[in-house]
Amino acid sequence: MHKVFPTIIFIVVTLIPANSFANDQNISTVLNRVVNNFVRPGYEKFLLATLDQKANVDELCSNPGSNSLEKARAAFTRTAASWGQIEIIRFGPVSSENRFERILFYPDRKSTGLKQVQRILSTQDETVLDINRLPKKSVAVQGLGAMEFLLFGTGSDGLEAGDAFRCAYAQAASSNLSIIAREISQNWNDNGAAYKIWTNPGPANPVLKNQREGVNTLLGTLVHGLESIRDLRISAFLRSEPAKDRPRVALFRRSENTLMMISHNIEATRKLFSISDAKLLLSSDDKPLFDNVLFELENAQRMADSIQSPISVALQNPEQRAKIEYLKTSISFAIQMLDEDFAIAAGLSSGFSFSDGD
Amino acid sequence: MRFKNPIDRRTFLAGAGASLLLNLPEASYANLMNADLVFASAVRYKSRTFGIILFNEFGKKILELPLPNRGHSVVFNPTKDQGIAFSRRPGTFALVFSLSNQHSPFQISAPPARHYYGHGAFSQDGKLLYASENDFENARGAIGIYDSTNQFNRIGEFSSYGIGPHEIRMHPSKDILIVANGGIETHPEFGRAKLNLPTMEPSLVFLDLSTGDLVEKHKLSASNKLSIRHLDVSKNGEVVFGCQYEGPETDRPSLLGSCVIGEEIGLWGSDNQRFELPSNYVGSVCLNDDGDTVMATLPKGDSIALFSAKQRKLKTILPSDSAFGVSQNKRGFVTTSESGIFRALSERKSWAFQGVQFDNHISRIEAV
Repeated sequence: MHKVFPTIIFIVVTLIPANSFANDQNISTVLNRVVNNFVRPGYEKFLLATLDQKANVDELCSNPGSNSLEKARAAFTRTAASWGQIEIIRFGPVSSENRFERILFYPDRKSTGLKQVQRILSTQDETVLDINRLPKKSVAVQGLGAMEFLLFGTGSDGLEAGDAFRCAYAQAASSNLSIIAREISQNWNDNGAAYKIWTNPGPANPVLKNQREGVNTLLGTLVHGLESIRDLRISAFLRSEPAKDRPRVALFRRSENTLMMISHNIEATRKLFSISDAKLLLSSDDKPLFDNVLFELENAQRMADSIQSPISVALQNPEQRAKIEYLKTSISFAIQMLDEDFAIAAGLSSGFSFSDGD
Repeated sequence: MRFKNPIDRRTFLAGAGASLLLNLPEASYANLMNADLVFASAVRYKSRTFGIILFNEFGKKILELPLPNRGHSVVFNPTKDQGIAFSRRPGTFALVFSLSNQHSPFQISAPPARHYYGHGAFSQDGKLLYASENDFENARGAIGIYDSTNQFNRIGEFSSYGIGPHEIRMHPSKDILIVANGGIETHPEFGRAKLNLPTMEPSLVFLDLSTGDLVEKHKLSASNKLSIRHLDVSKNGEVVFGCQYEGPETDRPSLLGSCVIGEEIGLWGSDNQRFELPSNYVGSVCLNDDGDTVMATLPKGDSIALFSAKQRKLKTILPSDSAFGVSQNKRGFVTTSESGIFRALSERKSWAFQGVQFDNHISRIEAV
């Protein structure tokens, strides 16, 4: 048998995509647009929404009643909506310290989070009221999921009559959310590491070392964002046939915000793509691909906006249920266009997802 | 020196003669006859269809078989002319085939409420096949046991003692299966989404195949976000593993490590010899037959990395066009890439497979 010689070796291959439009300058321009015109304002709005929510929950606890409860609930819905507008971003400071899951942990297949919140309420576990201890607890008991149950779940009407522990827990959770939102927003806004990393791909960049990784960041955000809407949000309740639908596991079904969140998620995807002006990454022959993707995202958004009912009602209405099915198909079309046609045209030789071997 | 998976050339040609010539095209037959090594990889074609390709060390095709969806890895039976290609997570099919095309390929399926993770391993005597599987309703890893002498009937399963078992390998001298539990919960109802990142719990497990009992379970103390995914094993039983990091992109943790039964698990370069790799994603690892050098592919970082297995440190990082799979020929490492290139690194030779994108792994079998 021959001996194996591990002598090494050199490989020099070109790393520059065949597409010269996806060059450092253009990708840097696209990423700057994404960060300055989508990411930073998106987190800023989310921060303001969490502060407004906190103020309304504080008012509820100080002056319990039906009016203050309704205001707190409305503030929750606005906070959830603002999260739906920036949830698509999974890179940067939101990926540290489990911030993403601490803001919203979903899906929770075995309702572990719900059980944990219910246990906290039944035992009146005061450790959750300590804003220094709450962030270290289960991600499922400190974010929007917990807030929704506290404000809309079984027993929430007790807030009208001054359920002090429940309200104090809601205060702690709303404070926690605003702290996380501020951490993220400050990280993006102080021209610190996050801003520099995500706007300037190149050899000196610790994360985006070349233009390919810049393209991957944008496409990964778009593709994974759409996959999350389809696979985590819609597929959670929409099954192969109506009899198997599961509206009770839908996100925010208690506050009747399920479809509102989906609509905001899709709108955010469309805005992100549009704001990026990613056609810069394409040759003039391929530029129609940008418009094709945008057209499909607009289709999806129109469809999502046309369904206004609570999810349990929508699923029982054949016409509205068909719209949700169409929405899922439309999202799949958009994913395929981005993952294959757009990605290849932007210089990723085998598309975006293929590199995720497993 | 012994190579992994040696197979007698006569086994290749069992029942050969006219029937073999009828079953393999003439050029493929010649490519098989001239081969000292046969490699296999799952592929995607430009037509967006999927398959596996078997080829020799000179980049000549021997056999091409279609798959109904994306495959992941291929394993060879060490005792006979038999291979099996596993579907990629959350696929539920695996394709059994003959290298010399002596019988029609046939599919086997994961049982209800299970799917494959893309990897398997044959027992030393080739009679049993073990497959890494997801018991997704219970969020637990399973090792399916299949009878290769009886149409691969599934005859039982063991626990993987973790979540998300990925690559599995036989210990070279013990009746022990080595399992890389990635630690990440997934469920086919939610596509490929990772459902438990805050609480993920990767581990490296040694499993007693005579009883299914846990021999040892090792966890990494450095971080719970280092998903142990890919393995190779030296002839002495040293396990080298590669990780994929699920924490912040700005972190650059050590992604390679090793473990031997009875000893502590360790990450390489994690103390005073830190090294950074150009991505947090190891696609495949290969330990050379001398046991002194490891190659890891970093397809998301357009690189490959070479490590000294003895010193447990990085030797060099080289640019590469999305190298996915890594194995070795008789002179050194070989890689495959998403651009369809099969490259023999020591010889500085490469072969282009037109219209083909190789998937993450290359398997190898040797004729002796």
